[in-house]
Amino acid sequence: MIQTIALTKKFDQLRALDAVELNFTKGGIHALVGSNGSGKSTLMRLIAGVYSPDEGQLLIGGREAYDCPAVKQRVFFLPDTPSFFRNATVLTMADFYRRLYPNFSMELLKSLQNVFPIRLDQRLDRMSKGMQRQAALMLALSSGAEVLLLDEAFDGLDPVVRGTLKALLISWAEDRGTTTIIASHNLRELEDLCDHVTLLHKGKVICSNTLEELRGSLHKVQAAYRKLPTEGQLLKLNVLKCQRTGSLLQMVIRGDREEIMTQVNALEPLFAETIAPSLEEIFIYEMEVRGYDIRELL
Amino acid sequence: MTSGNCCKSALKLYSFSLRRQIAITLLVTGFLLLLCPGILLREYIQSDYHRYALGSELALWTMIIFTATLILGVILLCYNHAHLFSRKTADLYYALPIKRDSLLAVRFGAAFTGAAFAATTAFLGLGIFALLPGLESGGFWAMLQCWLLCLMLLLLCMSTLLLFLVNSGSIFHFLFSSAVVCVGIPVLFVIGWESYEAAAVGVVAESEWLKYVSPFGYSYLTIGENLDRVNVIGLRGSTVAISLGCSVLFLALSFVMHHNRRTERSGSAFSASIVPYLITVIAAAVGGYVIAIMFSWNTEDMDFWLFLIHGALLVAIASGAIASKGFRKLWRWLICGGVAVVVMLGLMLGFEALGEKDSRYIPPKDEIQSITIEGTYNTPEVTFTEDFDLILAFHALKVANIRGEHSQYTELCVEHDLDTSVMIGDITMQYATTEILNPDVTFTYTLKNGREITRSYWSNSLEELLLIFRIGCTDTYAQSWAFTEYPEGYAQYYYNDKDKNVHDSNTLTPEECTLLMDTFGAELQKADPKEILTTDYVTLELENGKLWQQLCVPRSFTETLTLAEELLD
Repeated sequence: MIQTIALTKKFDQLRALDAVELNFTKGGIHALVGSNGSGKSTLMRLIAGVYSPDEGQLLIGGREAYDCPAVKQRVFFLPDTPSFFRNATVLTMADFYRRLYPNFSMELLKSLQNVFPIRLDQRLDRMSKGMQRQAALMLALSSGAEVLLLDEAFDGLDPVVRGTLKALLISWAEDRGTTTIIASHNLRELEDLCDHVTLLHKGKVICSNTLEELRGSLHKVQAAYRKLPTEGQLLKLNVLKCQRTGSLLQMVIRGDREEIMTQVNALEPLFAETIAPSLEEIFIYEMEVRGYDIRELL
Repeated sequence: MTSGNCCKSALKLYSFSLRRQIAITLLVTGFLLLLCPGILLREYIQSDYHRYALGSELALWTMIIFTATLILGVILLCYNHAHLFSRKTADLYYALPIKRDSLLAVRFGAAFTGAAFAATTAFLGLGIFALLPGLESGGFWAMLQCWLLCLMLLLLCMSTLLLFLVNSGSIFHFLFSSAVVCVGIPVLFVIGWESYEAAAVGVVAESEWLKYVSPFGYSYLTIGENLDRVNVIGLRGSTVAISLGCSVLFLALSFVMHHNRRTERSGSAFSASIVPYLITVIAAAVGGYVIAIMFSWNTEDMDFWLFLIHGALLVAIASGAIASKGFRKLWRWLICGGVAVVVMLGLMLGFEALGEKDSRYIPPKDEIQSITIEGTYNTPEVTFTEDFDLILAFHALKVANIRGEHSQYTELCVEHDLDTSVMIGDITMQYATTEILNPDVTFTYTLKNGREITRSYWSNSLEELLLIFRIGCTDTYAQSWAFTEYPEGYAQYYYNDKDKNVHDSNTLTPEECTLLMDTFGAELQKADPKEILTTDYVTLELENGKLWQQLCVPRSFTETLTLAEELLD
């Protein structure tokens, strides 16, 4: 659906994106995560056609996105700070988007009122930040775009609305095949929503994979021993991180779960268990492996 | 998306943009309707103003309508192109499924439509006024031409502003840079011209160039010029060609520059990186000069240049701060200030050299169509279409005397500490022992190619005095005193003796007037310079209702005085 080939964007001397190679599949919910200034928003603006690439290509459905109305009609960009016209209501903005997005649905917008507690005739500049974001999300969902680019989508939303939004995005992806790309710092929010995660750091892609694959490759093991195993005994395991608290070892191990547990049990622990690592933990470990300072990232 | 769909989207965005700006458009339109026809109607209703000649005031009303709608146009341009400067708004607009060029065109089109709507409504208001009975409306065609002119000039000015808009980093920088270029360049031009005049002692030359260095100056001058004569010659083809041609050119340039523009990062949005530096140089040059003039009037003094350098550097820093949104890389802006000082020095020296050269230029005789000669103090001008030799000789003498070459006459003035004036014909000759302040003879040459050259000098030699008189004896000059319009002239005769104040007057025939002047001229030509310089003279005034002439007749001019007494008796 969306493909970037050696995509580079420079701002004066700064390389905001550096030869980024990515693929976003149709109907997927993709998470873009990374530190401040990692290039998430820049990538989103490039996909939305707000920026032009300095080098490389950005293809949506096989066509260059920049300054191409036919491609941009399929994409709706919701920036981190939504912009509305002065004194505009949701209806005013809907009237604006309706003229430019052929699949924009006023009926859908009205029906979304049942989900988001927003009055369509209320002035946007009199709404709170969270309400403004809800209004922007209503417009984005009503646009009929095949690709939704949501920058900091959950920013300012209360837990109930966050849950509702997640459900809506999943339903949009399943029923309509909408591709959603969400940029966020909040990995916990993305964990139960996204099926694909891309980690950016300083304009480069650290890793990009499905959440399942990421989870399947890393395991967090807790095991208590009467006699702690030696380093030599642990060498058989691909331990990324090991932390000792008394007789308890907490390890992050890469590999197949069954094989890991067989190896761990062979060392005769008092007890041993695997815990599924959170998305946040996966990225911390992945970053550490790559020599990045995690404190810089999260 | 097909091109048809693209157009459809653009049209939809255009209609939406019009809706968004409708409030401010209607507000300005309402304000304009208060003025015209509101004020005119009030005058019509409240007074017996039933012969109101609207035609003669069309220029004024066009200027008012143009000014108000231009202000509206600037507001709408800023409003419609906010996405050029705000990242937040850029996210909204540049993510839309519409081409960037179409977006620029649509937003500019909407702004122009708003301003044009206000102008059109105001002219329709004038049209309603014209329907009232008993009024001289100026005619339907005159009004139509005024409307067309207003729209064309509006398009010219707004397309110029669009060029600045796409080349600015912020709204403030847009306003600053357009003011600097549209006002600053004419100011630089005037400064240069002043230097030219100052160097070319006694030379005044006017240029049409000033009209063409700024679209705004062009607009106002064109409205003034065209509409004074709109009923006579109509809207000129050159105006249409210049307005529309320049508008198309500026719009095309705007689109090219918009294409190269980097909107992504504030502060480096300029399509050409030289733009802010160029604007800073112009701003520093003008600002430095203005500050120097404020603190030191004399451009020849050293302190003037010290103030100019100081001012130019300060303005350059300020301009740089506006362009870069902060006081970063100050050395760059200081260099711009230094360049501005060099530019000013070069400009002033260049124009001075040009002025000095031109001060000695006399048009070749075979290129001259006519020469108009005029004295100061409201004396009438006389145009010669022949008898050029004397005038050219006179001019040559003036040129020879330009640079402080004291004539016999001036030396006499100094020697006798005299400060007097002698009036011959209708040309006033001013003499002073210390300094001659004002020019008193102006030559205007109209060349066969249509060009006009105007030169003004003060007189400072007896030779010039006599030459002027001989010019006054030519047929052309005599005809201007032929008393043809009124059959009789009126003469008054005064003594300036403190003890004996004689005042006599009589009505003379044209022949008697001419005889009196001829007698005076004959005595003047024979007279010794010391004799002319006397303060003991009799004042003789001649008037025919159209022309007024004063002769200062020395008492030693007995023939003239005797004849005057006879005629006035």
